[in-house]
Amino acid sequence: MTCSRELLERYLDGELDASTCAAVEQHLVDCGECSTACSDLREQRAAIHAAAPYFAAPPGFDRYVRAAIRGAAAPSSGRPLRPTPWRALALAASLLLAVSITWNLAQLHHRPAESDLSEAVLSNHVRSLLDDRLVDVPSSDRHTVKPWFAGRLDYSPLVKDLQSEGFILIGWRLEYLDGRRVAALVYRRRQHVINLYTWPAGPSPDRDQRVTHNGYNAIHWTGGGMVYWAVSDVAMADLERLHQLYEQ
Amino acid sequence: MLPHLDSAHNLARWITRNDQDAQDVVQEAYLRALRFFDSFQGGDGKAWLLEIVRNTSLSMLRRRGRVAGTEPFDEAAHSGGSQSSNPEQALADRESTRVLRRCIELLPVEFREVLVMRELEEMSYREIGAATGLAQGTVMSRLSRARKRLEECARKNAREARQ
Repeated sequence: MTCSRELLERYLDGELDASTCAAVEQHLVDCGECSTACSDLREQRAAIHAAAPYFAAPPGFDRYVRAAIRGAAAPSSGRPLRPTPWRALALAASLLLAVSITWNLAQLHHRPAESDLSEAVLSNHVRSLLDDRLVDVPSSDRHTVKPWFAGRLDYSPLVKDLQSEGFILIGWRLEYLDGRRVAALVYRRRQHVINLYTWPAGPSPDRDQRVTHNGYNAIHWTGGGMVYWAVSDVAMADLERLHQLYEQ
Repeated sequence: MLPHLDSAHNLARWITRNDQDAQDVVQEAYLRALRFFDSFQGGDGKAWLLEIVRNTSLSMLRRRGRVAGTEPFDEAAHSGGSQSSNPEQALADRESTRVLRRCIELLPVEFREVLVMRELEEMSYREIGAATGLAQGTVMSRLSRARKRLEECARKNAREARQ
């Protein structure tokens, strides 16, 4: 291996594959010059962390931004904290967005109760991706799922290990949907995240459905006395496969 | 808590270098995010939001003609007047930390933003690429140049402080 500062930086940035990484580490043992350069870079990183403060949002700023968002969405409700020149634009756009969601969902659903629920499930999925809280428990061990939910839910969700089928269980979390606490199981399919929500079916469960909105697919079915909603940006066929595997 | 609010504020603050501007940028960025939500196709929410924060910050700087980042190194404002005092190690450390911080603030914005995303936000080259619209190779070379510039800046100012 020839000496390369670029390689050292990529090594320290964690951007090398395992074999190149091993080669660099071997080279660092053999080459004093690169070894010194590498410790200089490490020192510089430590110095940057010491010198550059992390400017977290100030206390109360969260509420302030939320108020601005509400002010933009509904200018009649309360005085905005500050005049915002883009308010009119944002208002128009958020109304458009609301209209387009409603319209798209209306195209797909006939019963209002269903469309409310599918909308809630879709937005829960999107929020789980935006939040840092995709999973409460990161784990691929399905045997630890039931004990974790035992104190948190009044039912026990069915959890399948589908690794051999290309659905990797990466964890789970507790959610609130359809007026109750529900289990959200998180699978990964290639680079895509799938949320599988499940809870006990009511006396008259909804019919199965397929929903597509903004590049997200959702399918809903009822089986074994449980309601299932699977949501992801994978192809509908992948979700159908997950459905089949859970029905087996 | 709004998703990624600290990251959004941190990036905006480092690009604008001003508390009030950072808050204005973040507020506007979340409103834009709401507006552009239709264009979010899933995937990396943080990179997507930081792309909006970055673009909002840069257009604010552009409006104010402050994008170049060419202010001279203001020794008096950042040395704390410690040049003539006894150069004990603790003082020297504090001094070099102050110098380095100023050097980061003085990096041209195209270097500063990738450095902050990598070192403070701990984003991968791929994520930084997504947030800046740069190819991963360009992210890598900008980071590398940012680090070299910091080295030079810190060395030069440490030397001047000793004189």
